[in-house]
Amino acid sequence: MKKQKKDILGRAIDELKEQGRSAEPPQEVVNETLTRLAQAQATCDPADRRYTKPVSGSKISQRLWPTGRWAVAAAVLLTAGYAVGRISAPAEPDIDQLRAALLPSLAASLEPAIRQRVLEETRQDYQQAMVAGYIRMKDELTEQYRADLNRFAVQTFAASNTATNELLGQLVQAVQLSHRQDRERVAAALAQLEASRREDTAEFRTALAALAAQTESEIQHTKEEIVYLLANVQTDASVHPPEESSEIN
Amino acid sequence: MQVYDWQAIVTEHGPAVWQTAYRLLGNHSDAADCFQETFLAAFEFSRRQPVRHIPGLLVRFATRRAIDRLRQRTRQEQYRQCGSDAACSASACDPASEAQTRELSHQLRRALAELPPREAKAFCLRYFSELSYRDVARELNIGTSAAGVLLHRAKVRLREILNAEELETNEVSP
Repeated sequence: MKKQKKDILGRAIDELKEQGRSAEPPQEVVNETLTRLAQAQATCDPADRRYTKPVSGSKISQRLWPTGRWAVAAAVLLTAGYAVGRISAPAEPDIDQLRAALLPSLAASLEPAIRQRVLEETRQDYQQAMVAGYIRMKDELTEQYRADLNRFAVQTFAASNTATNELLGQLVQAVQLSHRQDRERVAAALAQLEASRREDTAEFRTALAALAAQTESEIQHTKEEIVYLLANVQTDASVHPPEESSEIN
Repeated sequence: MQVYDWQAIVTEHGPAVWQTAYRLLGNHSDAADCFQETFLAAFEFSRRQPVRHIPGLLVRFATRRAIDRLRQRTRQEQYRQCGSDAACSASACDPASEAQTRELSHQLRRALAELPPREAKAFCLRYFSELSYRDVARELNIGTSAAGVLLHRAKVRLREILNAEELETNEVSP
């Protein structure tokens, strides 16, 4: 049981270690971190950008330490030289002579260190100024790019809007013209239909009148024939009396 | 005079900080925040006092911030298993074993979030950053024996939590 528990924890540790083993920070995260570090460096006091080892004492002495330690070293050397001279010399040493003797050697020993320090400070300041300038320039260029992009977008939208309005106006005019032409065609067709209807009505009336006249003459003619026929029938009955009717009866 | 080239430091030690953060947090978003906070905290720290060992300081800061974020995430119950965006490794081609190992790592993260901060930090420094007991003790500013006690308690507690979760999983899906 204990072996199994150990295996569980061991496997979990191995898995977690394996998950992060091959991971690399994304480049955008690294860039963002560098930008924030540069901003933090730029916002802090230039005197605080580099670290100096703390010394015991007040804050004023700590602040004066970077520039004063060379003076302290020179004073120590002077004191040591003075003490050596005082001990070794049988007579009272000449302070001015001793200082004149030590000054060239001190200057020769301190000059390269001071020169190196000044060069290092200059290089660091130049590098930090370059980083700050790069960030500022990048921000300004980004801002300018966005402003130009917005201006171009507004101009493009305005031009597109104008062109769209013109095309819509043309379309409306074309639709109105088409409607007017359609109405004119419909009105012409209706007028033609009305004329045809009137012409047909007149022809129909004329034909009806002719038909009525003809019908009337035909009726008159039929009446005359009926009268003539009746006259012939009466004449035949008077000449030949009806025998067949009795036979039938 | 001690001058730090932070660009070189980020380039050189960034992968170690990222691995520490990503291993504990398990997703890119939280790991990226932890990455940036670690370097900014190291920058502020370097302005106040001397730094003996930059990689150790960065790993210590990254571990502490990752554990804080892990605990905060667990408290707010925002941790979701699907939030983990770890890519499937090419070697683990079996989906079942892949799921089991991922579940195990999630359980270990949750268990780490439940530990006291010092125990969790000691555990991470020892087993993820692979520091020795003496280095762990030095990073935590405690004695070596105290570091050993912390690590022992952390391991016992983690085993208890992992076993309890495994037992619960087995009961749910026999």
